[in-house]
Amino acid sequence: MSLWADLISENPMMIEVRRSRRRFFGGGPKGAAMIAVFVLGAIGYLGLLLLIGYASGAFSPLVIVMLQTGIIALAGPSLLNAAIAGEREKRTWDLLLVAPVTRAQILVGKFAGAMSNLLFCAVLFALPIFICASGFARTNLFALGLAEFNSLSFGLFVCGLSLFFSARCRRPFMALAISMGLLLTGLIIYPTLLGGLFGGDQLSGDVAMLLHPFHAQSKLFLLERDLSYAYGTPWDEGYIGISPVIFTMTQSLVFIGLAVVLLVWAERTLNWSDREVKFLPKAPHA
Amino acid sequence: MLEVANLRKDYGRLTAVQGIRFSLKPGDIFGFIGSNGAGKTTTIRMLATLLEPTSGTATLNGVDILKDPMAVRSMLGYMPDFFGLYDDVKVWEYLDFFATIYRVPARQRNETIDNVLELTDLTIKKHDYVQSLSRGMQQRLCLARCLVHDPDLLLLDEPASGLDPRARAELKELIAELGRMGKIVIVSSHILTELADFCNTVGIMERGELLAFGPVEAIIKGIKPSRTLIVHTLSDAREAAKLLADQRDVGAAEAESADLLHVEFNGDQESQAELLTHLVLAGHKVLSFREDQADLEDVFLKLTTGAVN
Repeated sequence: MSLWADLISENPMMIEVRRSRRRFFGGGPKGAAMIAVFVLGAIGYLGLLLLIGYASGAFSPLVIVMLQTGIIALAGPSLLNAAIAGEREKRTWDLLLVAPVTRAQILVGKFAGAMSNLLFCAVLFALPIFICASGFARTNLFALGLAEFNSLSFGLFVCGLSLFFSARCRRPFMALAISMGLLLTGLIIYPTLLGGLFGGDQLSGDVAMLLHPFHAQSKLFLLERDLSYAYGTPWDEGYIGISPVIFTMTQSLVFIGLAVVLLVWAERTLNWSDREVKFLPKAPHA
Repeated sequence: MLEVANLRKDYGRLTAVQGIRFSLKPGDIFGFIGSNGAGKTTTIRMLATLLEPTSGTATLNGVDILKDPMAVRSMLGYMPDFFGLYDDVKVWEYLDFFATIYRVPARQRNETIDNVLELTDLTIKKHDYVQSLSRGMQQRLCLARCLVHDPDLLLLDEPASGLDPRARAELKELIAELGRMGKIVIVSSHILTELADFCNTVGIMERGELLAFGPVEAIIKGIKPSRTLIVHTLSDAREAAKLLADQRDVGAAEAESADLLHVEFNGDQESQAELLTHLVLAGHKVLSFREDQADLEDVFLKLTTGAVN
């Protein structure tokens, strides 16, 4: 069986896509909480549409993509913190392990379930992006496409990271805290600390922010001003720094690569039986 | 057919299971008896392909659990001692999820779910949320989950723990039905009297060692070859004891009190009946005449020392 068939087309764990959709839209015992989340989300979404409609032409669509990236950074860990750790907590993990599915199939199924929700989120954002893009005078579709690609590849990375920690933790809350903590550090604390350090040095800033999606997406604003920056080099006149296109593409590919590495790492180190550890005798005292 | 050959599990210097061997055929309901820490769960987890044996192996229908665990998994249903359930789904969704990952064809899935719900008497709960079920129903649902792919072997680790008497009786009947359906069922339990009711084979385990294995009656006979008859009379028990002591197949006859005597007896049922006739013809007024049957609990207590690893 090919890798594609094994992990995707004939992977029975792909039912996680349907299951995660059901979990969010199917009501159930946690229905009241989910309805509250949906109502708040809907209010926020309508507010965003009203704001864009009211200030038509004032917003670059890239701003909405950045907003989408922020939502992804929050949603990814929330969707995946319980993927494996939650199974352990509910004691259902063994039931999956005795099923005729491989560890890789389980992980890919869980990953696909979360990604389907993030894609749904991206589809929702398509409308405000479209409204902004049609009203904004300097819309650059190339930059917009790149930003969207970057945002989704960041989503892949966030899901990979969250799944990795979920596979390593016994408690979903612990997995959530670690993933959120790392993202908070990487996206807010780290750039804040570095901001003062590099000042106006674009090149050093670019290198330091290699994995910062907002940095990449903010560089794409340059393309809206002047397309000649697109393939510029750090030595181009007027712009000292890595070209927005090369920077964003590189970063996006790194995100995808990291997501794959984290998934493989999670699969390789997934504990088959947690309880086995408890039986290990303690080392005798010296 | 399940064949377990020298299955052994070491954790560092600790041996949890010491090379046990046994075989079971379709329709066998095997009761796994042992104290906590005896190695029952470790054995069951090895058979379920959750733990890798240190040495030895087992084959299910000729498929080795080490060489082809995936094929074995599709032939077994495992119910852990602490059954986990997804509480935010409906009963049918829970079963549908497991039917899917066990690759039950989509066309058959609804029918399969209906069948296992009917077998476990949960049909009316099909559209209820799992968390709204009572513990007994959740236990039955867990068993229904084990059955969605029609496995040949069922591994039930302490299935009756925490259940009320009615739920236990229902579960017992269900397990007996599974045996009649030709499945191999391995049940571990502490409730020995219940195991004796529906298991045709038992294994007694202590410190990772299988101390006894076989049909319940054979094991009981193995530890207690002679039977004890308890006779309650209205006449003098000492006189009756003297009379019986000389009879054929009687090892010893002792009066426990003025109206009660114990007789060690080695004969068959016919000579047992003759013994009673003899007593009555001799003028003794017999109030009761019964065999003091050893049960699994006696066997367990006699064979084990209570030691754990």
